[in-house]
Amino acid sequence: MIELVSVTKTFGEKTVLAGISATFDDGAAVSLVGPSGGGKTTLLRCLNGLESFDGGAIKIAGETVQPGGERANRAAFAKLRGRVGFVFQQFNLFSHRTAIGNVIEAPVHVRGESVSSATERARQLLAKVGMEEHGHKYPHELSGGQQQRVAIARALAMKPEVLLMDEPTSALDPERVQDVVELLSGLKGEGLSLVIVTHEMHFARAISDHVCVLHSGSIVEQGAPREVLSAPKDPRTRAFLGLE
Amino acid sequence: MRSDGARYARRTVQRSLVRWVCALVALMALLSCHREQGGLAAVRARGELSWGGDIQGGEPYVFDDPRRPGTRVGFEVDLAEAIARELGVRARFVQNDWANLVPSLERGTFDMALNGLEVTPARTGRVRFSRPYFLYRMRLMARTGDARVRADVTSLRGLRVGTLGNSQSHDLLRRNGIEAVLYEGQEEPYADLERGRTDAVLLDDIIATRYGVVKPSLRVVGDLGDGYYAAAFRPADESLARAVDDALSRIARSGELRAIMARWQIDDPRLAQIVDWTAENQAQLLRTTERAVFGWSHVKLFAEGAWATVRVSIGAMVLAVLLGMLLALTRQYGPRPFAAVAVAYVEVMRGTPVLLQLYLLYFGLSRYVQLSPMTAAIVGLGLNYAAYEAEVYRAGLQAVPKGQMEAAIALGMPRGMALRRVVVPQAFRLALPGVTNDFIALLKDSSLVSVITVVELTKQMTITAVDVRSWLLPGLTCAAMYFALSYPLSRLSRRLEERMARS
Ligand SMILES: Nc1ncnc2c1ncn2[C@@H]1O[C@H](COP(=O)(O)OP(=O)(O)OP(=O)(O)O)[C@@H](O)[C@H]1O
Ligand SMILES: [Mg+2]
Repeated sequence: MIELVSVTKTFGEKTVLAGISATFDDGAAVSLVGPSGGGKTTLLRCLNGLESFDGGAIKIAGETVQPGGERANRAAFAKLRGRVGFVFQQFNLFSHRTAIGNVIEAPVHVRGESVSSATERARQLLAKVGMEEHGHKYPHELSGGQQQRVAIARALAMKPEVLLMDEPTSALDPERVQDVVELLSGLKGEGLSLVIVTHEMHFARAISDHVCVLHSGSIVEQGAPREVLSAPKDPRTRAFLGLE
Repeated sequence: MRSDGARYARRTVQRSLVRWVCALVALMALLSCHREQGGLAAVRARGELSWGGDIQGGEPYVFDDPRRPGTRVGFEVDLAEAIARELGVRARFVQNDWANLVPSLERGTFDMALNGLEVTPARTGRVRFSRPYFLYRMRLMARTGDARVRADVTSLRGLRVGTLGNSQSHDLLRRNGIEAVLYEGQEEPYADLERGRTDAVLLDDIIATRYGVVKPSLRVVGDLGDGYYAAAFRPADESLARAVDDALSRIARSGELRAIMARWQIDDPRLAQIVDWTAENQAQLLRTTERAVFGWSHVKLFAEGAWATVRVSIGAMVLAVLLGMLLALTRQYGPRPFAAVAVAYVEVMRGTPVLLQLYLLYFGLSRYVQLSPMTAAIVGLGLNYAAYEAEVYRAGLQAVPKGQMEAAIALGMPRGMALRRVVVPQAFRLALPGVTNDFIALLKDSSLVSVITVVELTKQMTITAVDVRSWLLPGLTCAAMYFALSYPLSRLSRRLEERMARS
């Protein structure tokens, strides 16, 4: 279970998160949607401690994160980061390592697994995301969609309970979006919780059990995608979805 | 329209290029005209005899008067003034690095070189020497307790003997196959002898008296031979040389010469033999022994010099690369006080001459740490280049996208591990072309270490150039060797840059 309790954050003068409270069930797929600048990426980054927040608390993967960033949460982050995977919008693959090298890096050096067993598992994960042919390639030799799948495999290699993804469809051709939906549905079926920031309403509808609409740092509406995306009540959501 | 513009631009560039070349040719013509016409007539016409020496040679030759800084004094100053007086002109001193007195004389920087120039076979082929004005002895000194050193050249076999490069003492040592450690100043050979870096010092008695005998831990072992100081002229200025010969004869016969020496406490009854100096004496003195010809033996010496250059360069570069990375990381990621120290280190090392740093390290600190010349060379250049490498890496570290660090953190890596395994390797790759370029620069800068007695490629070249009385062939050989060392590196650097641009 992921629980957010009145999470606030400001960048200087600007309030980016204005008291976010929400509860996401284990094994659920949650979409964060909303207009640009609404605070989606910031919220996602707060969930695994890449960004610190100023007030409230976040419970995730059995740990409680307090305001104060790295310094205040060292022990929590140490446990949490293995259990919460993050797939960046720009993927951020290690450019000096091959696809396989990217996937085994953390299991070997953070978890202390042997190179041979980590490599074995990396091959299975790359096969799972359809990248078994490309294990020896460097990031610059891969397309955007291929890099994304390696990035997912890299996050999965740490056997996370939660996977956070920032705009997983932004680097894809529309016809490839369905592949990602299938891949993520499969992962969800294995019990993984998903929190996904997206601009694609079709994608949100197809993948998620729960949708949160962020507007100027507040959740203005949340619920099942059927309700929120097809019959929104809040005027700001209606405006965002182009229904007015 | 656009191609017109391009053509116009190209034409403008060509025209300005032609203009530049013209200006350059004119400038060079002007400079070569400036080369003074020498000879007695020219000196008389100017009313001035310019003479070259190095005040660094120190007491009692030519040096700055400690009581009136900026005024030159010394027995050679007195002598030059006496000579000028005899010629009916003024004397004007020209400061010139001692090691380059002869080349500067040849280039026409002054009319006469007068600064403890020993009449050696190597020099007699290049310059016209006057009659001698001083008779010196090659004096051997050692540490008081060291019984191995005796007043006999053969006792020096297997020992390290300090002296000045291209001096007669250096010649004597080389002819007897003794390892000579070459210095560029008079003080340092004795300081190093005291500290045990060498086993003996062989130098002119004047130098030994001023710099060696004053040290209580050293003793005079004995003298290994005589030699003469004479003024040197360009061979083309025969009329001037002859006039100075006559002037010196008059000065010697009148007793003024020995009076000058007496004033500087270097008079000796043996100087009587140069008072009555005959034409036969001069012919005897100038009868040159066989002159060395540039050949395979020199190429072999050059190869040894090149090997020293390679060792210094590689050693210094390894040190610079490691320390530079440490400095860059400390500056970028370290706690504030440490970062400030790293910044200060870089600024101080880049803001002071590497030559000075080498002097300080080898001579200045010798009371506290005793580094061998090779070690001091590697450490000195390495510490200096570390500052430059730190800047190259800093640029590399800053060029690694922030997302790389974040990705590592998100995977659970501690910051230190993320730096070590993700950021630093990428920064190193980005820095590699710059590092390679610096290595080429270091290869050439390594010639500076000859000031701390390491005989590397350039030093070997200057020694050989004096031996064979030509700079051309040794110079070209030396250049070829540097090029052979640096060209592969510059190719490598270009390849790395291309590869980086592709990925
Ligand atoms: N490091 C930062 N410093 C200052 N302001 C920031 C920073 N990061 C984000 N912001 C601001 O916070 C607000 C929310 O940004 P965020 O990236 O979370 O929005 P988003 O909902 O992800 O938008 P988009 O859909 O365009 O990605 C924006 O107004 C942005 O300008
Ligand atoms: Mg965003």
